[in-house]
Amino acid sequence: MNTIEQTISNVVNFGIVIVNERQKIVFWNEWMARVSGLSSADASGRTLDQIFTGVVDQRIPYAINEAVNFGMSSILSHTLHPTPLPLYPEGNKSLNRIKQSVEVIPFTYGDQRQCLISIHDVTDTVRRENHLRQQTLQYQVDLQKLSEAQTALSRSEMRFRELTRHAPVGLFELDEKCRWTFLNAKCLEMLGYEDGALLGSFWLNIVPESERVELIKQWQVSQDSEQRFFAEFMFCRPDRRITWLQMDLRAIRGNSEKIIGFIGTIQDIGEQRLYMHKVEHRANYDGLTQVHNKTYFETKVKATLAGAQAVGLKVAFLFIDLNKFKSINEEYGHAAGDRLLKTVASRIKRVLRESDFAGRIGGDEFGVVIGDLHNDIVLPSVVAKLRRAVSLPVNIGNLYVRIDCAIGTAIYPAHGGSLEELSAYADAEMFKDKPAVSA
Amino acid sequence: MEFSELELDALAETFNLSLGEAAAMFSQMIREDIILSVPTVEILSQRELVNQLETGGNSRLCAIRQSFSSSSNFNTNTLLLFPEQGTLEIVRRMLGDSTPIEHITELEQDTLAEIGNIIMNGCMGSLANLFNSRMTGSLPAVSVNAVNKVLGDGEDGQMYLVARISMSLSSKNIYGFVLFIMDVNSVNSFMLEVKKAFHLQ
Repeated sequence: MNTIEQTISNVVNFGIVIVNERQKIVFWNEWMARVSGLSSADASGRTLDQIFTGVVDQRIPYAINEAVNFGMSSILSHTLHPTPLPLYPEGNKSLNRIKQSVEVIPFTYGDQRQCLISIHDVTDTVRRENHLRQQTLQYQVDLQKLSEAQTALSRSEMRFRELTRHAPVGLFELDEKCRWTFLNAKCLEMLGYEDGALLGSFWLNIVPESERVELIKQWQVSQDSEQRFFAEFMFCRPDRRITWLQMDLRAIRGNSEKIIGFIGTIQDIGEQRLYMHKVEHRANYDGLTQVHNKTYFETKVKATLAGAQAVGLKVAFLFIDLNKFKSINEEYGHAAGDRLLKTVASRIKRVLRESDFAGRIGGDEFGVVIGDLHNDIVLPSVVAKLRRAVSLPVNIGNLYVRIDCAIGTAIYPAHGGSLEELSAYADAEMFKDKPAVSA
Repeated sequence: MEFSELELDALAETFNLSLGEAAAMFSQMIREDIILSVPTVEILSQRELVNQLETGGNSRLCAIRQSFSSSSNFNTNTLLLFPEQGTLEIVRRMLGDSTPIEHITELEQDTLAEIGNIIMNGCMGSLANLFNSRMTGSLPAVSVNAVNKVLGDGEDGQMYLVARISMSLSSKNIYGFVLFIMDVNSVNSFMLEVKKAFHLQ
């Protein structure tokens, strides 16, 4: 080998070894000397097996044999032969072996078959690929986790969708500006709107104007106190049907505690309210005459007296007893008697103002309270009106009858401070009135 | 260029012998039984060959290419072709590696080159032995490409001696092709050697 070729062989950054037909080394470049710790002079004339006793991958002598005897080139990949020769960075045996890729190429020099063995350091490539594999595996793990999380999320979404679909109450969501962003089927059914018709609009827009002022007030209170918003309001559906709704709304807060929206429920309480009203009416009113029953009348009287005491008002208590009602009942029957009572009660109510009230406190006895009695002159006029109203003829089916009444009055606080005192006073007054009327 | 049925039979048997030995070597290397099909041998133009490869449904192929010249007056470029996915499977099975990298890496290409090298050297070594001639072989080169690109630009009138062989590894069927690209003169010289070996002259 001439000088220039030798020089080049010695500056390249890979190993060059040339062996002859007898597999003896005839050339050993600088790189090989550096990584094996063996000079070219020491290597020359020996086989690789002799130099690295027992630690040479057996594919190398096999490939050399195939090259010099059969003309075949061979490649020894790093993967199948990671370190076929014991070579170390700078010949330092305390470090890990250099990872190698080896090529064995036959050539003819003069009339001799020789072979060139080139050894490449692939340590960096191996490191790079290992890193790539680790990253890929990590990505696979991450992807798996992500996919599991997505599956869980989609299940949870499906669950939420099914729950909202079958929920017996209306569920809805508003954005931070209180615009509808979601309404479940039940909610749309209650409000009477088509799917999508409300999305993006301000929620109060669907509420009748008469209700808005009160709702805005309640809304403000809930916002200021950071409490849930709970309200019942009258609602007029687009099909003009009127009902009552109960709304329960809570704020959803983001990471910085800022409100990012609202979630709530709506219930149609129209029927419930109607039922409650009926129950309440039944409990407090006399079924026949539709004036307060005795219990509720007395409760109301006590409340009125307490109120009057607090603000210093006068209140009149009237006791009305129908004269000879028993004989009408006996003569024309109970149905006629009931009809008479109903008519009388309705006439008494017609005479009274909004702030006054009446109650049936016995079979043919009524009590009346005239609240806020400004002066004593008013009372005789009211008594006269009541007497006249009662005494007008009453149609009891096939004929008209007339009935009189005796009226006793008591004034709070002049005639008593309690219901019992006023009642006793009025009762006595009524008895004074009775003979006179009867006469 | 036409051959008799007898000549084509002899050609198939030649490859059966040589590839069989190469496959045995490969089988030993990956420590797994390989079942080889009986090779079919055809002489095709490049267009015909590309059509056949595309019909197989392979979009990308991995090719390991080596060139050999024989003292018996024929030169050939040998190509070992595998579908890319099948190739990855072979390599990663050998390495016991389940990394889901979609394409073949640099080191895996080297490994594949060595596998092809062992098969092809084994095959050509057997042929040299059979023909009693000397053979010189280059180093293998690996490329992964679309079917119509993997063969490169064929020269006019270039014929392909196609020995098709299927290799079955465990439960997986991995099909490979071995192609011998020769010009007309080389094909004739090769057939001459085959006839000599099988005493057809």
